[in-house]
Amino acid sequence: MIKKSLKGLSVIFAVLIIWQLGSYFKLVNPFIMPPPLEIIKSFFSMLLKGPLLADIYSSIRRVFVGFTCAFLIAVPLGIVLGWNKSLSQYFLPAIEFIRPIPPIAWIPLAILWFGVSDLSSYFITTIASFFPIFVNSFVGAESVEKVHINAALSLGASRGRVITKVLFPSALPFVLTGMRIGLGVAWMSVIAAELIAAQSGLGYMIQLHRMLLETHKVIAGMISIGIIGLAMNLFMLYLERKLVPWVKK
Amino acid sequence: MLSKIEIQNLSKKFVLADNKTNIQVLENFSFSLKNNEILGIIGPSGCGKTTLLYIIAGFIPYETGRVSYDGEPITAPSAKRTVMFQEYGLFPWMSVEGNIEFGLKAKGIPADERREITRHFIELVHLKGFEDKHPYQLSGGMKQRVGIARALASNPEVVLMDEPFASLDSLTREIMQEEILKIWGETNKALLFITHNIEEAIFLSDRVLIMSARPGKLKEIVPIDLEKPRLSEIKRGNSQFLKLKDYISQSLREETLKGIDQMGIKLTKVLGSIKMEKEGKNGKNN
Repeated sequence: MIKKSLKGLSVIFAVLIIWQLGSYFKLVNPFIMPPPLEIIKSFFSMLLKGPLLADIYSSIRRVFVGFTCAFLIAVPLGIVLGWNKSLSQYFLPAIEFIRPIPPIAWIPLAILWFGVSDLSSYFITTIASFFPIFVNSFVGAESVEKVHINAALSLGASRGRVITKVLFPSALPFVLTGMRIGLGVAWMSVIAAELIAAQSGLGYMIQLHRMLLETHKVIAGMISIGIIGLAMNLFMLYLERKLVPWVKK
Repeated sequence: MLSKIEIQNLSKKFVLADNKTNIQVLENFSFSLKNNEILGIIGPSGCGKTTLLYIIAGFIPYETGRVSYDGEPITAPSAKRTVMFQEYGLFPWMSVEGNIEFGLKAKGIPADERREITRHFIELVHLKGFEDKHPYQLSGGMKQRVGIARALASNPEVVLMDEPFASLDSLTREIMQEEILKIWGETNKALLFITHNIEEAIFLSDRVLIMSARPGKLKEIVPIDLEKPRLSEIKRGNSQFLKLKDYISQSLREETLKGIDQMGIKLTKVLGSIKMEKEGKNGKNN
């Protein structure tokens, strides 16, 4: 484990050192590609005294609100449609029609509907995380084992109990995978939305510094986006291990 | 009336996915399960044993005949007839305790009483100390015992078991069989179980029902008048046991041969058609 991470880190450090040396000997234009040390410096100065934390908070809040909305609709809908074949025949075609439209393609419509406001971002993050969560919940409910349903029925379980105690836990591993993917897509989409339709957030921040020609701050913002995305993914993986330990990976 | 389950002239067909081919699985089947009786069902592979069990459980419908429980036709599953499945069918997301108390919760039994019953059954199947483990942390024999405890805890009148010991090694199997007899001696229920194992059928049963090759018909019912309680030793030393084993083996052998013949006919048909197809193709090429 440690050996593996050492291997990965060694490449990252090698690239950073070559990059830093290239800047030092004036081989790369610092306006195009500022040296790593300067980026790190501006990252920490923005983090400590600048507005970086406020931007991080704005972006995360938008993802959280949209993700929660999507979760509340997608999980029940996915499980019910995965369970009820005839009902799913009504809804699936419509869902399959909307699904291939990328979340960022909704941004113009969001601006028309909600203006340059938080509502636009909430709308985009909801759309973005809805489909991964829905599709995985659907597949999860569909793949419930017949023997578990039969076992529950022969032990006297009502229809409602079968849904909450058998169908839902059967689908849970899939739901969690969908949540992890949905969170990732929502995070990417909120940045895109903020590039265009927001007055705060990490996407807005890197766009602002582009206009101010502060490349090092743009890259420092990108690094924040990457770190937070990674942390979200790791958190969701941790949650999966904790909540569905019976699923062998 | 002494019969718990009554089956009269039951027939069951499966329609294959192409909507044309019918497979007659059960044909004109009649028998009954008495109160407190242990009945073993044995028959060649694919003769419809599991189908029969699932019909009695209420999982699948049937077209002709009558299947009744306490005189009422069976139309849906009921907690009066719990099922122990071939691969146990335990809920992997629940602990041992959660699995065992599932039926009690479904019945709405209050928490204190539920805990007491659950504890009793955990002790009965020797799983004390494993209450909080999940099925994936248990051995095959332990899962088996959780399955038994789960089927018994909600206090059914009949337990239906589908090859309950098929995936256990022979020693564990023997121990489990003795435990089943012991538990049944204590609990006063009826048991209907399916098996491939002749010794197991004789050892556990009051009567053994032999099924014919497909379509599954009743071939004969052999009463097992060995004394109870029975111990595993009788499988090796008891002359009456060995006589019964010889008799059932012979009866089953005929059916198994018929089954193989049927398969053989199908196989030659399939092979024949492949051969013809090949020749046809070669013909075209030439």
